[in-house]
Amino acid sequence: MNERKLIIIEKLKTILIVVLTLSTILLLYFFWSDVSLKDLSIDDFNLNFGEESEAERLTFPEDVVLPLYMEIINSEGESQIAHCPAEIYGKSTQEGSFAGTLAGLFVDGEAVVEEFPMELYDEVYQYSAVKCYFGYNIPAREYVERLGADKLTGIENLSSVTEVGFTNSVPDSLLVFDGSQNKTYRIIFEKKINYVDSILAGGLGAEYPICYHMTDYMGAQVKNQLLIPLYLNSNLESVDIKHLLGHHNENRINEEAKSFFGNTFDFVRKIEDANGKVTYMYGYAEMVLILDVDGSVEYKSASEGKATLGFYDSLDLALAFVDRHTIVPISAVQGSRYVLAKASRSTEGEKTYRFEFQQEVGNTDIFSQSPPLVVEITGGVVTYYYINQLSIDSSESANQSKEAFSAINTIATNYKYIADKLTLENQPKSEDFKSVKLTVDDVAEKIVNMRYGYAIISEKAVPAWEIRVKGLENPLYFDLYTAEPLENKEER
Amino acid sequence: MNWTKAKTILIIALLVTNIFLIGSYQQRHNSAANDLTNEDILIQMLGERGIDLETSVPKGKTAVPLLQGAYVDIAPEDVEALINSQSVISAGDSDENFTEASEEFITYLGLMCDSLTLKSVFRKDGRVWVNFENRVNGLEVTGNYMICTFQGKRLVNFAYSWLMPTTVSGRKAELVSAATALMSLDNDGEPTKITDIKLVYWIPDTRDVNVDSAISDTAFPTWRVTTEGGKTQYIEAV
Repeated sequence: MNERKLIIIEKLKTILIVVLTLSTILLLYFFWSDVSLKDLSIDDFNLNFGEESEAERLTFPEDVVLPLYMEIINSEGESQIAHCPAEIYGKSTQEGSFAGTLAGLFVDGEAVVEEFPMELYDEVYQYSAVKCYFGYNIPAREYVERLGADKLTGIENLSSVTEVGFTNSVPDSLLVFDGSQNKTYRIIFEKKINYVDSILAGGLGAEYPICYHMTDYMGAQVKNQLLIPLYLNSNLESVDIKHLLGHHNENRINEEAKSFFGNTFDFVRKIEDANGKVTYMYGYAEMVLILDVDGSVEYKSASEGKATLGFYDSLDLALAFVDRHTIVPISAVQGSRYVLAKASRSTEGEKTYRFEFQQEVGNTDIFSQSPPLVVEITGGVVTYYYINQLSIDSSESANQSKEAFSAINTIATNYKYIADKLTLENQPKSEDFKSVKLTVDDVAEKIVNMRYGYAIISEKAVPAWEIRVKGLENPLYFDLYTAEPLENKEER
Repeated sequence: MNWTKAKTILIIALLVTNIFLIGSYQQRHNSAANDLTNEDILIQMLGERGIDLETSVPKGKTAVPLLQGAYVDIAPEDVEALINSQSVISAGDSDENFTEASEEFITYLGLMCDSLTLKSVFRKDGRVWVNFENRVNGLEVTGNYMICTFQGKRLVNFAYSWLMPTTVSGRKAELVSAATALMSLDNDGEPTKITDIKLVYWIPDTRDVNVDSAISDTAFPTWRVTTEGGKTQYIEAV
């Protein structure tokens, strides 16, 4: 009897274990399925971003802090302009490059910074010289430290680096134009610098056109010192462009959005409009992400950080963010490169850095009225990000190069068109605007920049001259081979 | 091995685990509703701000998923053409007959969905209005309606504003309690009588997000507070 009782008890125990195990599983299920929004705080974003950041870093400040152009002046005073000079400028680790030479000089010995007379600055660049133009101000101390300088006397006088160059007229120095102070300096090294000779001896060939000043073409009545090519041979052809984030690809769009919102993606407002633009919003616009039909991605965050980061740290943070949030990393698109085109710091508290980039493909600029990549860092946090990733198959370029419509003739042929644009754009703005007839000299005087590259027109990359004119907000584009004005060019 | 002892230990361990889980689960739910239990205190606190609570404070749901939906957009001329071509006539004079006829027409339009819920049948001067609301997870989607108007027994008009539910979020969002929502009510210091508070799905304004003509949107669980005079305020519940 006792034994029977024991057996029954054991059976009951077994049943109880099964029931209790099942109920435990059920209770755990209730627990897990009831995860709440409050349990997911902003830390989730940080955790999410932080986890990815280390593994996927592909682009670094040295990849994007490059001169917008370099000017190489030979012993006869002829200038060659190299747009997209990434290979010539190089990196600090590249021997023989501009940056490599400079880094070598800093590592080899001591150096001293002293002010250089402004009136001599242009003069010493007249023969055998190489000048790099960045177009924005890089904090000087950060620039030289990045190149390995640690024994530099007087660096505190130099505020920023806007242009740097070597010239055989001052063979032991690096000349620096400080754009923030509008002053010129030189960094004197212990030994003579042979960089200019080696560049000139290497010969840049026909790759970069010989340029003359506008005044040389137009005569002394025009004072414009802008350098434009005499002749230009190019193998650029019109090619199709591809937006890397196609708006028809829903999986890609979801993937992209998830990369921004991480674990909170389930609690994000998603609005799609009739054109196909998708807007994601977390909270009351705390974070907004817009994926537009043109393939652009725009992100805004209202949460600012408190840290005060320098130029390179901010840029590093910006590039880490870009690496994380581009489906195709910007450095992985074949033949394509993003170069920092503008860097500005907010005057209020110096908390915000805004970086604007331009895109190059196969060493050719892609022109855009609005930058294809923008990142803003506020107090160490990304508060704004915009990208429109384009892919251009530059291999479609013709093998044989042909002569472009000359720069000066493009201006001469189109000066009336440019004058009309100036009249049209300025007339309504000011009452005292006098509708005077502009001559070709007047127009030539007003041209502030002229370069060649691809203009984006009707989903095609078209070889073009880009002309920026004083008094016109947007640049004008002309066909590189026919000089025909290219209207309705910018669709990005 | 002594299986009897092992089983006893296992039973005790499982019992303790279950008690712990039940306790924690209860605590989680109670904590959200805790402040609701002291309704008297809430009434007193609201009273100090000139707010008179004339309704009970809802209790129950503590977590609700977000609702994603697509806006229904049918050209008025298409609706009119369908009304004329289908000539929908109610089989009888009862509310059920009018409801059936309305549902039949809504099916013709391709708008029949699980969330379509009859709200009211209203009659006046030979006209009958059959009013449907949009209810998902038991919550009304505010501002959503389908109204079929009958003249005699014949359908003569159809009006709508509808977010067709497509998906709900994978996880539920924990709700702010009704009491907390009431405490954040903005009455500008004016004496206010609250006549109703209800959890609804609400689609926030799109003005802040610069979107023209949205075709799909997300509805959020929101507390709809109605004050005397029918004025409503929406207070986010997540």
